[in-house]
Amino acid sequence: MSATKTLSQCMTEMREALESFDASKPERIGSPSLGDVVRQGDLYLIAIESLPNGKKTNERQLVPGTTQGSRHVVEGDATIVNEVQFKDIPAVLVGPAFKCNGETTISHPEHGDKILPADTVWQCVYQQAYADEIRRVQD
Amino acid sequence: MIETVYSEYMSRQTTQETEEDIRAAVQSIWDMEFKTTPEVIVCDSPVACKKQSIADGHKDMTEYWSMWYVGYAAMYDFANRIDLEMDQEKLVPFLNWVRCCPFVLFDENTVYVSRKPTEIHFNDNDQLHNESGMSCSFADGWGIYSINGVAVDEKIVMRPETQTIKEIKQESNEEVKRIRIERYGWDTYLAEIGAELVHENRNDIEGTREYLFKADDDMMALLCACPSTHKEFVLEVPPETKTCQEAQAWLSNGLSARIISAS
Repeated sequence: MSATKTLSQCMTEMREALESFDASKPERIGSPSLGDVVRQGDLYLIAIESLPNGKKTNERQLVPGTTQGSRHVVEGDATIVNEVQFKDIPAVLVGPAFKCNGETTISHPEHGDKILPADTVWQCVYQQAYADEIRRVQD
Repeated sequence: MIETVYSEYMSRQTTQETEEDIRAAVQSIWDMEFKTTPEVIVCDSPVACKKQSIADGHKDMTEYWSMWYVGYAAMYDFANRIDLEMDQEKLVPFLNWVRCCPFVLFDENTVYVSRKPTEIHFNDNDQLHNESGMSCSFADGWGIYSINGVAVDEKIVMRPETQTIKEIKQESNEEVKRIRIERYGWDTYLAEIGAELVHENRNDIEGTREYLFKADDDMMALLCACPSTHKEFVLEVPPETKTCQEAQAWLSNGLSARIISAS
């Protein structure tokens, strides 16, 4: 690492790196192992073994809110439960869990769609924001 | 046919309807819902509706933004035009309601209806967007500001250089914060907060480069970019963070090491 590198130079490097990479296209996730994580913007999907105890819901948007950024949506045949716990992660950062009964797409208006295989189960966790209180990133 | 319906609905957003049509649209919904004949007051904007209702002594009225349902109306209208079976007794009042009443404030006996906006500006992705004025404005001058579909305040659009570093830092919505910095100027912002590089990393899974920096007031933050939208963010992390990997681990609650795909 160069000690004299300025943040302005870093911005240039960062933008150049992006030019050769495009993750905006839909991506099919092959055979995830338990614990593998798929990230779509500020939403993390963790492959888990089975649906946890929770309240079954028909709400297909995985992130609360009405902004464009919150529209991570389950499309396909999936069973969704909310009000779940996940490890020791604070409740405000834990979203629904869902089981893909068939191939299921997690769509978003800006980030690339994720196509998840049938018979996999996923837990949603939100990106954390640095603030006085524990809260998720909002966009 | 899809293009035809799309064009009709997009161009109709600022076409003003007659008071007669507005009253008829309200009455057809009230006939189904309340079985009353309400007083209908037409105002220039949603805010004008609220002001007038307060001046008239109304409290606790319900507000309803029919304009958010224009997309559904277009979809149902399209289905109807290609002869899918639709319940005409419900479809026609719904389409007229969405066309004539973009915003209403109501109770059973009184309805304040806003006229349509006089101007709407979109970007190439049909998101509300205007970098030099309101993205959506009404006849009385009220309106909203948006950048690429994100609602922002007037200062961010019209006087971005007058934002303070404190305002930018305290912005709780990361998308709005990103827009604030972009409009303020990335180089100016990073210089003014005294940002110094602490660590850098090439994130091979995401195909991005990321930089941990420290600012004058001990703020530690990760400068990074989204691999799919290519938007740049400054994400604050705890002051004790030493590397980009530690920052990603904190942001993700320890999940970042197992990421197999990111967009």
